[in-house]
Amino acid sequence: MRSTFSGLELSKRALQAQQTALNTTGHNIANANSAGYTRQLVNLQPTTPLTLSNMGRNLTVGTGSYVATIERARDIFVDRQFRWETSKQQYWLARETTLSKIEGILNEPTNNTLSNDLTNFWNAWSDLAKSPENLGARAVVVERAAILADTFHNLDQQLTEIQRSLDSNVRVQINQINIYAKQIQELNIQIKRAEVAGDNPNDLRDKRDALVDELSEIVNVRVVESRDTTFKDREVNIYKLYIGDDNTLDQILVDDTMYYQLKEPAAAGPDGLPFAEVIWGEGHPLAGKKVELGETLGRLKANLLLRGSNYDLQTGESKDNAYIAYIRNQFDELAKKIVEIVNAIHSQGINRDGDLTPPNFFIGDEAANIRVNPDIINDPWKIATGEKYFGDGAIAQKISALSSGWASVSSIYLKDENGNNLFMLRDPDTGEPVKDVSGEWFVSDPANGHLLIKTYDKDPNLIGYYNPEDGTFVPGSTSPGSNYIAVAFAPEFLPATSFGDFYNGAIAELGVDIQQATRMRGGQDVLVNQMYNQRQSDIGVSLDEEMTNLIRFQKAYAAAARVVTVLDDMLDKIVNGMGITR
Amino acid sequence: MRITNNVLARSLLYNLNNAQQTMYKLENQLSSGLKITKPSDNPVAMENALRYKSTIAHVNQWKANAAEGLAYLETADDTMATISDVLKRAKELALQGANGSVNEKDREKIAIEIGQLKEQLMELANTRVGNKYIFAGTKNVEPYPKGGNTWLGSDDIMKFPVGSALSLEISVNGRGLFGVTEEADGTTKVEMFQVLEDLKLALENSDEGALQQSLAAIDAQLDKVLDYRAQVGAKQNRMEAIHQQLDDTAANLSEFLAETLYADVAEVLVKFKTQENVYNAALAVGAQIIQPSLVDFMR
Repeated sequence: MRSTFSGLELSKRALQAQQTALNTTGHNIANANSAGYTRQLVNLQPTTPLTLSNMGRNLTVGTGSYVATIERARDIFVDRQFRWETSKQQYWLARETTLSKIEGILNEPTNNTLSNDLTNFWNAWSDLAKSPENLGARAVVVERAAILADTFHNLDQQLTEIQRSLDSNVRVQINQINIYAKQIQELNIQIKRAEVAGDNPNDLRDKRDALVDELSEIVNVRVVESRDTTFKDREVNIYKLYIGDDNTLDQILVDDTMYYQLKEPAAAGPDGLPFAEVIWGEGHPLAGKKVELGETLGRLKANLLLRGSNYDLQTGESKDNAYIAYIRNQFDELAKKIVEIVNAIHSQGINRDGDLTPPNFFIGDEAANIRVNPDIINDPWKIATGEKYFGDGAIAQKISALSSGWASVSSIYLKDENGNNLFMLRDPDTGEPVKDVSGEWFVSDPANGHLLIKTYDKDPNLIGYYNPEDGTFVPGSTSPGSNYIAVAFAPEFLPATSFGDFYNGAIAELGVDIQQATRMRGGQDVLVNQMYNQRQSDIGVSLDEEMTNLIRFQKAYAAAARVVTVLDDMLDKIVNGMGITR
Repeated sequence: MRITNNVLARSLLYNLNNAQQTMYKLENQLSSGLKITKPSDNPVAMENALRYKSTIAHVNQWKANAAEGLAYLETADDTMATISDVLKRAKELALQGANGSVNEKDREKIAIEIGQLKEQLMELANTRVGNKYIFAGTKNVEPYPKGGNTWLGSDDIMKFPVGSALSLEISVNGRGLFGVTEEADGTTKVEMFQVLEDLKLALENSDEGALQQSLAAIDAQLDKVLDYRAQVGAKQNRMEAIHQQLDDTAANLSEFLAETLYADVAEVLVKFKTQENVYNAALAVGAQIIQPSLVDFMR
């Protein structure tokens, strides 16, 4: 039996539906520029029809429209791609930024750099070789050496600073991950409540997606959302969030209404160690184990790889996962070799006092502690400049020749034409260099029974005395009582053609690494842009489209209002016109 | 693909940013004058540039050393010229004294002058340039101090570094030039001074035979000085050649460095202007595209 006022009810439903649709359009327009907003689509459906019996037949008549659902226009596949590319881009961006900072510290190709200080140092020795009797030239050598040492200290300190700031970044990021986990879990609970009640919490979902987007900059994320099958008549989802490497199982951060945390890293001592580790916290299936972050994904991974902790090939630390430690190690090597080689050449020389063993020129063994020997600073006359007299400048010349190669080093351990080692003779009592009976300064086969040779190992430690005449060797460090001469062992030199070359090579290596980071980041920028555009084409609000929708719904609303007027008129006829007898 | 306003706006910003980045890089090159402002711009070129720079610094150092060495050699040459003159004067006086027409009194006067010439030679032996005694060898002390009679200089010659493995001598062997020998009792005998001393004695004693011997000895000394001067001449030539060579090397290296490191202003300016045009075009077109929407056309 048809109801009289069903038409009005139908129109009322139409008006309501169109009005809701208009409201939604207005909401979309209002949020056109809101970050992370997904446009909402109104899903208008006809209401359940009525079946009437009409003249003995069944007739199904429509009863109006209603808003079935308001949907979010989101594509989870594009989301996943966007987050993946963002993780990669942020990795290269973090790497590029830090490496550029290191480049800035080194400050090439200006004039205030380590290579300049090194060049000036060698030149000062060249000046000293010309006039070893000139106190001014000696003072200049000491000054330049002090400046060189200071530059080493400065570089090492700044690199350490960068390491520490990377470490504090890592700690902040661990904290952020934990906070995100908690926030996402809270949103999950709220969303679940709404879904169970049959609602569709679009704005809450938008918030959750925005948080996951932010998290994807720090680490790689993977969202697994599945339908909860216990609810049959409404759509309730189970939301799981995994972080880190996709190939490692169980790296779950948020498990629907439960969240896990990363372990709070141990506090750093005054020397900055120990560095923070990224480890799963308690209660997690992988509790206590390191978080596998995957390759080139996320800022956290970039910071960890750059920071490293030490550069020790034995323990698996290498340039790839301890970059700053590697660079520090290179400068340490450079400083150590400068100390070793300059000292070795210097120890063969004679200073004005005629010391048999002049004091070492440098002390220290790495970039942080290389220094000029205070004895030399107090008395520059102690600098050994000559081979036979202090005034011949030969040792100073050899040290200054280190600027172009290792010729001075290999000549420490001189050889004669037969390949025998040559020894320099000194009278052990006076320290004066003495000539052999044949009138030579250097002899290859010490004869005449007055020479036992002090034998050193590489450190150098005295290990015994060798009599070249009868080939006997007396181990131990006390002299068996004869005259002896000292033999200098040539130290190993760097794997480059000179000190300057080693440094240049390190700079070039850094430059290449930065170029790679810049290129990769540039490539990722393009990809991320593309993904963003693709995502926007789904979730973005197009004002043109909303304007069109406005007109559509407005017209429909106006038409529905018209229907109300017409029905009203008809009913008026019935109510006021029918059955009234005049 | 569905395009929204956001997509247009973001695209425009991204492209503008890229154009500006290129402009920033070019501007940096212009204002600093360097093609490469940091190693990552071009690592290989940077490595070359660093190498050139340090080599140029060393070559300049050697060049300065060579110039200084030339000065010393010239001084040595001049001093030996003076020694030659002194010896020639002594020879003149000896000839005069050997002439039979000179009497004893005159001979004594000549002897006094010979004594003074000997003093002059002893002073010339101690010639100094700055802090260096040029005839003292590497033992840089006064070779023949006044009042003593020992030659303190050493038997070798001071060298200056003018290459990475090259040191050239900047003087002559003082001992060789003056004829220094060790006596059995530890004193030293200087032949050149001894010759004049012998001459003086011969004049005072009017010893004819000794006079003739002295004349021959002075001739021998003159020849020796000539020899040594020839040596210095050769050393000077070599030092000159090295100096010239280093000069050329420095010039070449500077040119390479300039090519590698310094920006060609004209080229960079043209690039900058082009980029500016691109940027302006992007701005103009972008402004046109992102403004209109359906709202403008609806009542």
